[in-house]
Amino acid sequence: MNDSFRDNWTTQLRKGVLEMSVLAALREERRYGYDLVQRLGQLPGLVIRDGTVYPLLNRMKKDGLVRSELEESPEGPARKYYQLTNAGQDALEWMQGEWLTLVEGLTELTRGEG
Amino acid sequence: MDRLTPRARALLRDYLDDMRSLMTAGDLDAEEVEEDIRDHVLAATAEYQEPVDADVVAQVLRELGPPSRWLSRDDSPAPDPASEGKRRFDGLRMMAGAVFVATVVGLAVFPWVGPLALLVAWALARATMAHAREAGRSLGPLNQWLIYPPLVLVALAALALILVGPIRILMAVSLPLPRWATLAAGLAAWYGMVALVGRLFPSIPRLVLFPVFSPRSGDRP
Repeated sequence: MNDSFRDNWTTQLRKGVLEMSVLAALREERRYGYDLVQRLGQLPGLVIRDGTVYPLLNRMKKDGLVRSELEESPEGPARKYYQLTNAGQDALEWMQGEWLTLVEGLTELTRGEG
Repeated sequence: MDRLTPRARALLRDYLDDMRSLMTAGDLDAEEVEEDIRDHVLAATAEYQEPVDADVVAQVLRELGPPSRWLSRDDSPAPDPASEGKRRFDGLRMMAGAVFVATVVGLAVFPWVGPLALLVAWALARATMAHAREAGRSLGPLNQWLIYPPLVLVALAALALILVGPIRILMAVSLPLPRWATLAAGLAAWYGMVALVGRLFPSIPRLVLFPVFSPRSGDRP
């Protein structure tokens, strides 16, 4: 297996779980963009470019999964906080179900028990 | 963005121009993503001494990654004039533009239908602010310049009405009292009533007198 294949596979895997990661991080608490990026940066294995989060948030907002609101910050200009909507909560639960099914199936498969 | 040195500002501007050129006709709200990126840069540089130097901003932009890498292909079709126009004049800007036009019309024909046009401009300005708030977006300096004139004019007119409006009526009233006493008693009653209304319904003075008499909190009165 060459490095290019590994890089591509890892990138696709991270891309696939990014939406779920964003929703999960917002379920913990509402966050402003930079805070969300910092939180995602703490996830082992989820190495992303910081900018990736913003188009994703924009699409999620359009899809009604998250909403945003401006709030004054004692540390400077007003901050835009993102938080989950009910639809986002439902989407996250659905994603988690799919994720667990996939992980269980893959675990069995890679163990050779399927 | 006054927190940044001119060189740092230029760096950020180039980055945002690059980003915008790549997302002229996608499913993204370019202006909102741009705001998010600006907010990100401000938050990431918050702990640095002002003005923040270009080197610091360059590092933040490196961590954000080149826009070409984090914008998917769906967001980057070749730009065409129609989509470019649509991008630049999004809903918020169009509303702010309509406010400005109504204000100019109102001032141009002031003695006649001008006040009505100014009231329309005022209502549009409030709607624009509500739209921005609901969308979780800041108005931005240009939109503020476009929508604030009717807000200020109506607030000043309302303030003048509140302060001196009843004087003319009181001057015409004839009571068996000295004129100064009639005036003082009438004004005291009027101001008391205004204070009571303001106390019972604080949203009314906030609505009518913004931005003349309202604690300014960014774009959100």
